[in-house]
Amino acid sequence: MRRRVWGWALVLLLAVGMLPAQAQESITLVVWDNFTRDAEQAMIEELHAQFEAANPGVKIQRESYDTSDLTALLPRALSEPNGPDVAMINQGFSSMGALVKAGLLLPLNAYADQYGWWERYGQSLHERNSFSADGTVFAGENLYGVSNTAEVVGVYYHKALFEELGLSVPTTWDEFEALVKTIIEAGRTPIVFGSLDGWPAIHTYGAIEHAFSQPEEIDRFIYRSEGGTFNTPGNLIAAQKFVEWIDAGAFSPGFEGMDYDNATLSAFLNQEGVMWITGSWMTGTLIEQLGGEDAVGFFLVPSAVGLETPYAIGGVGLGYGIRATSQHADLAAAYIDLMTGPDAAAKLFENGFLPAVAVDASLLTEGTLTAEVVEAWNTISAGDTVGHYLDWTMPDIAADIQELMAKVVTPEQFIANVEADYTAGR
Amino acid sequence: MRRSRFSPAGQRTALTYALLGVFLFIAVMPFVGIVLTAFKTTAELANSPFALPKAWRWENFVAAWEGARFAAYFQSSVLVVVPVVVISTILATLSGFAFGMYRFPGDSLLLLIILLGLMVPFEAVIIPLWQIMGDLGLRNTYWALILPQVALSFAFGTFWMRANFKNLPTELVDAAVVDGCTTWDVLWRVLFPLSRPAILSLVVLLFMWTWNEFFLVLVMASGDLRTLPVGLALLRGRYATDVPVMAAASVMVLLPVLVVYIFFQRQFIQGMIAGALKS
Amino acid sequence: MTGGTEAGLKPASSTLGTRLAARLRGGGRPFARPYQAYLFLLPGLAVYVVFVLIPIFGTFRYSFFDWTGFSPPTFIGLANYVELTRDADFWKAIGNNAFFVIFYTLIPILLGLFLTSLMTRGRLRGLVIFRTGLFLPQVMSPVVVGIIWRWLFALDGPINELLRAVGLAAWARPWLGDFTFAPYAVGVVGSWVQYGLCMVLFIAGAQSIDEELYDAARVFGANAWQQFRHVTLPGLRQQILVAFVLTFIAALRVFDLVFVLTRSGGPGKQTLVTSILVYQQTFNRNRAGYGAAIAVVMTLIIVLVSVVVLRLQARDEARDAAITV
Repeated sequence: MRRRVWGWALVLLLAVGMLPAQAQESITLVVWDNFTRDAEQAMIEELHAQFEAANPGVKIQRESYDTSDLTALLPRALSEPNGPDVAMINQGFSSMGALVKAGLLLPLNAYADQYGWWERYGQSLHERNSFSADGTVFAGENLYGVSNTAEVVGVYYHKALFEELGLSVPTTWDEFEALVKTIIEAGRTPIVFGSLDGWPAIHTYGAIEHAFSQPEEIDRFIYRSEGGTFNTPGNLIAAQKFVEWIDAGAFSPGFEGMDYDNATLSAFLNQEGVMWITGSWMTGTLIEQLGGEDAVGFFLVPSAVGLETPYAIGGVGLGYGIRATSQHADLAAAYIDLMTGPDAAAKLFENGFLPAVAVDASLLTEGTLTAEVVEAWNTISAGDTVGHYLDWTMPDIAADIQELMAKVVTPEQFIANVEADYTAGR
Repeated sequence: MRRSRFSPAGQRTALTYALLGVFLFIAVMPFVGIVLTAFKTTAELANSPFALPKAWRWENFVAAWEGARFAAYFQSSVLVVVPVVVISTILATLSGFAFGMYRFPGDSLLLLIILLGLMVPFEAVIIPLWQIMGDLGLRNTYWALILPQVALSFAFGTFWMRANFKNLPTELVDAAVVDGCTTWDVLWRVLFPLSRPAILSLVVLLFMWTWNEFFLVLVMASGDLRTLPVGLALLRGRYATDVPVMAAASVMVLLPVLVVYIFFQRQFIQGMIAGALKS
Repeated sequence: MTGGTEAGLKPASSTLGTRLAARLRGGGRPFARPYQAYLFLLPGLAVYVVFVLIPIFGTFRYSFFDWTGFSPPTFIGLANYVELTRDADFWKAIGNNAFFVIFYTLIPILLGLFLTSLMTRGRLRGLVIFRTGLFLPQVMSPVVVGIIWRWLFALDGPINELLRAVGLAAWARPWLGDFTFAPYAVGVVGSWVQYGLCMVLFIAGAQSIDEELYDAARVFGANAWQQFRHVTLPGLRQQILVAFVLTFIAALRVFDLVFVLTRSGGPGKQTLVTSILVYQQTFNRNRAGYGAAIAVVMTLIIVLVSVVVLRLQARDEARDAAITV
């Protein structure tokens, strides 16, 4: 009996030892992307089949990771000789910037000229995927990524509740604030919100901050360019307003202990609050969960500083980049062209994504949630008022906002703390 | 026979049951909650996890099975976990024997060095480990998952088994040595049977930890080499998570560990009954 | 092999008294030829050196470098360590780790002892159910633990409902998001997860305590508490030390539980721990050198405490040996 156990252990050991690493055959294009959800697999596989059909002898080997794992793993994977040829790169100093600095990414300017990528979307959006050749200047002269999705943070609202309370979509900040007050007076929760995960606080505070800011101010802050500072009048007003709203009961009771995926989402689905300030990525989930396009609408937080088009957090999603040492750079560029082109855009749109390239108007049905989200993106994209996620530059800012919400610090101290970290380069 | 005195013993037993029952409730309820959640829709999450689902949605399990490519990753998990548990239990039993039964030059220093593996925040060691795997040409093989976990389990197991051997009655060993047994005989025929509870619990713990290991697998392996927990993580969306599907996947990942634990429980209990009969 | 069975090996002269004495002697070391010990150690040690010790040395080395984790490192001497001393986040995290020792080490050991004492004395029916059920928290993956406990602690969750039901409505709060109570909430979950390890360890240890010791104690009229105090507890001395060292290390290395409960250690930095800092610095900020320095300091603290504990144990043994000889 004992003999047999040992024997099995030995057999097992030998068997494991003989398992080889994946074998290479013809050309294998290794791709790392961010499309991890079940529903997204069919879309990607169709596009891959299309690519493999157009390029005989080429096989795509794909791995998908969520954003944080991708960010953690890419630096080492890209420094390997058989690492991913194409990978989706997160924007910002600590992701794309660090990779450029280490010489791991190929500048895409020549391919962008060749394939006409510059025309896909506006210059200010390409800047987000650009760095100087040494990786030190954000929005520099070299392009290192091309995106196929876009995001915009705005307000989802239950149409039925708006009707019940006699509300209409606000077009000015004052109207928005009045609306929040009306809902409180009606004994309802205006905005579902949960800050347990940290990052949703950046979006909610950030939405108010963007309403009180000029695009140049936040651009300078994010890109750390000349005159970049957190200490602006708009930031202070936003912080004060945020605290005022918390005290007035504008947000879900017990929001400090609510997470995003579970508590906040189901609170909105169950109409425990009238509105939800979050990103366009929730559109697909909401349509699926509510069984249609009609129950919920979407609008942008209006500007409080007199901007024609609202200034809203948003941007392009992770950009496809090419490993500097890839043996198949041309093929990789062709792949990127397909994945960021109109065919892919149509498929992304079908799957509830907001494509970075403009969606064909014929695909939109007036009055649906999807159409409202797309229109919101088109508005800020055309008006060049696409804002930023504050944690691109301040990775710790969620903790500061949580301190502000807990009243451990005053709005003035909050501004001073963030500014101190900012100037210290943290 | 202590069971003959009925009333006070009976009262004490009732109290024991009551106390154990309270703790059992606290320990098990979350598990019941997750099983029920696995059958629900996202909208139902706002209600209590202990509320019964409106309809038993087996689809969640199907979605989890397909989404996490369970068949492929399950095979991978088994190919990693079984060798890790077998090899490290053997190695740790031997070294635990050495530390528990011998005094030798440098023993406390060596023990400390082995314990070091448990003390270092693993998040910091993974990059140098990744480099070594590259140097040895083992990256993206099962060895890259097996060997580091054997090494870490060896550290834990040594500490675990050393305590076991130090606690065993030494006169048994003395007697066996007097009787002319070889060291190997003493270990195998005398100490090993006595160490069964400790070895069984070591096997359970190592199985469970290796089965649930996430970070090492994420960094060291890709493709079909990935194990179940990493497959589970692939179900996570960029911002949104389908909690019921995650719950269904978690239940499926959990089941093998539970089965192993329950199986070894039986052996535990048998050991105890044998012990009781002895007196 | 002359005496085939266990019973056959028992010395004929074994009286209760000598067995008790031997029992109390703790861990005598019966084998003389130390080279054999090295042989038993060698195979495991070889694997350990290559796949754990050398990488640890690598981490130690990188703590003296400015290093992203992928580009060429630059030697900067002690600069990372100097920066550490001024890093408020690091000190906050160390303080939080120290706080978690209460919940990860002390409470689980006490709970484990208590449950062991309930389960090992007397023959209980349904023991399989209790043992399996009570161990469940250890088995569950951290992701699941996070989902469940976030809901338990929510403002309208069962814990707050219970408080309202017993007239303590003023105490109801979103525990994990509360600036004052979040560390306690995370700590409670830690105790809930960790006691199972202690319990299994103690139960395994209790199996090898000689039944005759209990019989003897009863002959002297010892009650349940006295039996526990004078037989079980001394019999589990090794296991308690092991449990202490392991759970103490767990308290100082905790990562998963904080990550699934409060993500990056919020609210604010109230539940920030050093492992989260190491991870953030290494993988989010690309400061692997600085992350390594944090790891080295943490390791030194853990080593220091472990050495003290192991020393105490060694002295304990020596004293026992002197008494019996």
